[in-house]
Parts: sequence; structure tokens; C-alpha cells
Amino acid sequence: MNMINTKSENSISADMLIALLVPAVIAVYYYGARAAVIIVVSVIVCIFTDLICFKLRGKSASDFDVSTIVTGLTISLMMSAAVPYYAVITADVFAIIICKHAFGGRKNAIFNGAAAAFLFTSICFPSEMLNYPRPSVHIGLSSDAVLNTALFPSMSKSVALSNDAVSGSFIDLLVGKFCGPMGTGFTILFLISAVFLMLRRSVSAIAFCSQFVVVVVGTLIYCKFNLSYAMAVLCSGMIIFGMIFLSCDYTTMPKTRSSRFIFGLLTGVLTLIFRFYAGAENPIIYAIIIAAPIGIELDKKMISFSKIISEYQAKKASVVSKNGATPNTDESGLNNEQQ
Amino acid sequence: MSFFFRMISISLTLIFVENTVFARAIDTSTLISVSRNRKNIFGFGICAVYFSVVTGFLGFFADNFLLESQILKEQAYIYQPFIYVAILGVVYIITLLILWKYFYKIFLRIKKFIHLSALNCAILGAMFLNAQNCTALSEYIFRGIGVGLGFAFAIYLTAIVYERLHDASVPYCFRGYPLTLLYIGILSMAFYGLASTPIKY
Amino acid sequence: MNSNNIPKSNNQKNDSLGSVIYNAMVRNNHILVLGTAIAPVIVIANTLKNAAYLALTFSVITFFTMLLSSFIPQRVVYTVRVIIYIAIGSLVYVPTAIIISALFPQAIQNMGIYFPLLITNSFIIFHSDTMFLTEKKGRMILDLIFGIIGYDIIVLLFGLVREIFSTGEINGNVIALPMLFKAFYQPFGGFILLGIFAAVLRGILLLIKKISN
Repeated sequence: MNMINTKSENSISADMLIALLVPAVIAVYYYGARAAVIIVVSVIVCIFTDLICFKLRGKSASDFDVSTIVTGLTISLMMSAAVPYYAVITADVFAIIICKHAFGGRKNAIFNGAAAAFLFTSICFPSEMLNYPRPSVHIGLSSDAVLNTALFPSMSKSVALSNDAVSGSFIDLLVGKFCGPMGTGFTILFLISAVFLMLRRSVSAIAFCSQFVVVVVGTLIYCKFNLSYAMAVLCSGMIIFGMIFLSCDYTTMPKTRSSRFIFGLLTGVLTLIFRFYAGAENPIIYAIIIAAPIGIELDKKMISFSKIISEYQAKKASVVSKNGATPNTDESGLNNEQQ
Repeated sequence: MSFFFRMISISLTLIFVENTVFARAIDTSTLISVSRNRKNIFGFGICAVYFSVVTGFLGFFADNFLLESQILKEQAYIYQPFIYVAILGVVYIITLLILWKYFYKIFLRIKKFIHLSALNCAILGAMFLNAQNCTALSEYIFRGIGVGLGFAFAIYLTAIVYERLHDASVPYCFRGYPLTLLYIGILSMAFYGLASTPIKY
Repeated sequence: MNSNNIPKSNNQKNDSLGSVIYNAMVRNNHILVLGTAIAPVIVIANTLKNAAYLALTFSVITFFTMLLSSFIPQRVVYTVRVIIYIAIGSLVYVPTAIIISALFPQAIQNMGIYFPLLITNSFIIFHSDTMFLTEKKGRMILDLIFGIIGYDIIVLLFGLVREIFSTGEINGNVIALPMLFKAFYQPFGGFILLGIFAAVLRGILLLIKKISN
């Protein structure tokens, strides 16, 4: 089984970083200095924790890679702008220590660090994490300033509760002008950056598209083609953001094309289940975590499956060549690619 | 038809939402020891489903007996375990005898793990939970299916990452057992999101 | 009717008392190293009080069950013998439940189904043969007692740490903490915290080894 690695991990992470910097800038524009501080704190804590862990594990600091910064940035963008700093730090430490280094580094990790850390912290500090200020309300840096600000539940939650009635215009939904995590609502921007990342081959097009189609079609069917409701569901709850930056993370994703396709379908279906059956606020987080180990298994199954197929084809070809025809040993595209 | 769907949904709830391992942490020790060997999981799952269904079926009559008998009513919780263990033991021994007598090949194959699949907290715990939660015989049976399959599902989810949890790159402090606990913890955190109401313990 | 006619296991050594205690309580700690009976630890031991209830009931049930089980002749096939162990456990449970419910009515309520489930804990099912019943009586009782004490200490410590982190209290007395990790109160938090505990114990043992070398 030869995986053709067209891109190094660091260049993939660099692409991700570029794609994440744009929503970070917009988040600062929407929520002011506090958002900037949260982002900077998150990235710095991630880097420091990572370096300390490398030291403890007896490895040199040169093992450090850009993905740590991506994790820190992703975590900070998933936070509310009014979140206390200790929640961000907890999330960073959990992501780096438990999800990355306890599992033996990035290569061996099973879960996406940012997703698991966000889930853990949102259960630890639900009222601090899951209440959001209105966009364009700039909060001061101290914790007293947060107390004086009116906070609201996210749009994802209110949509789930009311099952209809969406306040705000179509354009507001697309540019992220609603209550929610500070950097995950800019749907148009994310669609553009998804195309950019897919063209740069930093995000698996197969996994992203299958997931996207499943979620969109499923939502439309569930909403009985009520477009405004469907749009509200799709734009909120960090669904698009999660698809690009959490679920299509190369380390926790299967390596073969066919298993990526199935992985995408699975994540999409799980997202729908968590959204509409359980009414979860950020369904994609749960879906990613549950799909991750199954993705690993899919890889093994698909590799053995493609072996069976290629053996069968070789057998067939040898039979054909015995009969005088040209052998056809061209293997199917099941096994040998990165994308 | 609606009855059938209701029963299926009971089973699915027990597999995914109220999974014996992920939601209630029952029998994590068995899970950790069984997940070492991937070959046995399928047989183990079948055995677990068989035992949970049969003991659930018999547990229904035991529960009814306990309900009707006036003497035991107040202190049912004291005598429940003994009755359940007796049921489990009888089912277990009869199954072993039948397998030994008529299906000796199968007996040899499952001998190594049959005591693990029958005599564990998941099966016994299912009987206690049944007594708390349901009244109809059909519910007992479908809950049994759900518990057995859910247990097998949890073992499967742990077994598929066995190599990663024991990989050489994992720091020695975490390798193996501690990491397995962390892994189950993170997974059950995600499954916890499925439960819309708090799960009773 | 005793264990004279069984093949002795290989690890039969004449250890000093100190090494027996060290092995039973630390090196083979039942929760943090072997993973024995961790279900009630993860679910029940979320406060110091509940942890104390668990430690008490576990100690009583396991000790008497194992003691009585050691009288079962080892000639009986293990597959059948194990059901006898559990039957003994369910018999030991009856007086235990009566006494505990009289002394601590809260305990039965707090522990729910995990109290009766202690009779099938893996202490009795897995380790009965491999660790205890193949040894001589005196050594077995020693191992058993210190194994149970090791279990209890970890349960109490775990319950204490978990209560402090998740509710900010020590046995109901509020202490001021800047933040509370509510996730540790739930079973999945128990899994994660127990995993961290196990890793910490391994780290400490590794450190001791390094220093002594």
C-alpha cells in the first residue's frame, strides 16, 4: 500500500493557518480587542504546552510543527467572545496534553484535539462557554466587563428550540452576523476557503464534498425545503467550519480515497443525527469524535478489500493472458493516492 | 408496525444512548481484557446477546414473582441479586452442557471467553435495570438485545484502535491501560451528547 | 478441602512483608494498574462520601467472597467454578446489604445498581484464579487484605480529588476555587480522571526506579 504524499504536513498546516487567519481578523473586527486577546492567548498557551510536553517526553523542540498553532487558532475561533480566559487555557491544555501527547504525538492521535477539547470545556463551563454577545458589541478585557454585557444563547440553540422562526436577514446569516462562536459563522468566506484549500490539496475534496452533500440534502429534507430554516441550521452550529478545519484534518482522517468517501458520509449522517435527534448545539463536534476511530478501521478494511480486488483482477488477467489477450493489470483507484 | 418500531428504538437507545460502557461504565474491565483479541469479538458479541436476551426473558418472570410475593416486597433489593445470579448460573450451565454435548466444536472455540461474556456486570446489570425500567415482556427481550449489542459495539470501538493505544510512540506513562481509559472517556463524552435527558444510574 | 493439591503457580516466592505490601498496594494496584472493578469507581465515587461507601461495601463483599471461595476445590473446572464464586458473592451480599442499609441508609440509595453489581466485580471473576486462590492460605489472605486496602485508598483519593475539582467542596464543605471542572462529575469525566491517575502512578513508579538506579 503506497500512499503518495504530495504535500508535507507542515505545508498543509500552513495552508490551514492562512485560511484560519482571515476569520480571525473578521472576529477581531466584530468583537474588538477581547477577541484578539483570546486568539493570542490560545495560540501562545498551545505553543508553550507543546514545548513543555516535548521536553517531558525527551524529544527536541525541533519536532514542533505548525499544526499546534492551527489547533490553538481553531480552539479560539470556536469560543464565545465573552469566554473567560481560563476556559480557553483549559481547552488548549486538554487538546495538547490529552489529545496529542498522551496519544503519542500528532501521527498517532485518534481524535482531533480542538474538537475534543472544545467538547470537554463546553461541558465543564457550559454557562461561560455557550452564551454569546451580539456581534459588533465590543467587550472590555476584564472579567467585570463580561458581567456587564448582555449574553444570549447561540442561534444554533434557538433554532433548535423553536424549530422555525429565524431572526435576521439572509445576508446576515451568510456573513455571520448572529449570536454564536466568534469565528465560525462566516459561511461565504468558509465556502471560498474550502475551494481554495481543496485546490491546494490541503483538504480532502472527497471527504468534504460527501459530507457537505449529505448534510445539505438531509437538512433540506428535514426542514421540508423551508429554505430560511435550512439556511439557519446550516450556517449556525459551526457546521461548515467544522467540516473544513476539524473533520478534514489529515491526521485523524482515513488515508484511502474510498474510505474517505465513506468517512465523509458517516460524519454527515452523524451530524444530522446529533442535530435533529439529539438537538445538540454544535452537532459536528460529536460527529467528528465518534467517526474518528471508525475512520481508522475503514482504512484497514478498505486496504484489505482493495487487495482482494487486485488479487482477483490479477487472477483474471493471468487467465486472459493465457488465452492470448493482453493482460490488464491496471489497478482500480481504490488504493494508491493521497487525495 | 408501530409496536415494532418502538421496540427497535428501545434497542437502539440501549446501544447508542445508554450504552452499558459509554454511559454507565459497567464492565469496563471485561471490555479492556476482551478488546485485546479482535478475533473473538464477533463470537463474544453473539454470546453476550444470547445471554442478555435469555436472562432478560427469565428475569421477567422473576421480577413478576418478586412483585407478587408480599413477603419480599419491602426488601426485594436484598434478595434480587441472589435470584438473578441463580438464573444466570442455570442458563450458563445449561448452555455449556448443551454445547458440550451436541456442538462440541463450537464449545471448544468459545470456551475461552464464554465465562467472560456470560458472567459479567453488563448482563447482570441489565437485569437490575430491566427491573427498574420496564414492565412488558417484549421490552425485556429487546432491551436484552440492546444491551448485548451495545456491549459488543463498545468492545469493537475499543478493539479497532488497540494498536494505536499500545503504539511505541505513546509515552510509557500512558501506554495501554491509562490511554484506553482516556479513549473511552473522550468517546463517551461524545455519546453523552445523544442523551437528551439525564441517564439514571 | 483446601488448596494442597493444586499445581503451585510460578510466582510463589518467600517475599518479605514489605515487598508483599508494596506489590499488592502499589505495583499491582487493583484500580490504577490492573483495572479491576473500575465501573463503580467511575460512576459512584464522585464525592468523598460516596467513595467511602463504595470502599466499605467493596471491601466487605470482596473479602468474604474471596475467603469463602478459597474453600472451593480447584479440581472443579474454572468455567464452572466461577459461577460458584458469584453465587457465594450473592450470598455474602445478603447480610452485607442488611447491615449497610441499617447503618447507612444513604449508601444503598447513592450506589443504586452498582451495589449489587459488586458481586460480579472482576476481582472475583478475573483475578480469583490468577492472583489469589492458587496461593497458600496465609499468603492469599495477606495479598487480599493489602490489595483491598490499596483499592480503598485509591477510591478515597479519587473521590476526594473528583469532588474538589467538580463541585468545589470537601465532603460538603465549600472551599473557594476559581473554576470548577463540572465534566469530572459525570462518568466520562471519571474515565478521563482515572486515566490521568493511572498515568501519574506510572510516572511516579518510573521516577522511583530512576532514582534508585
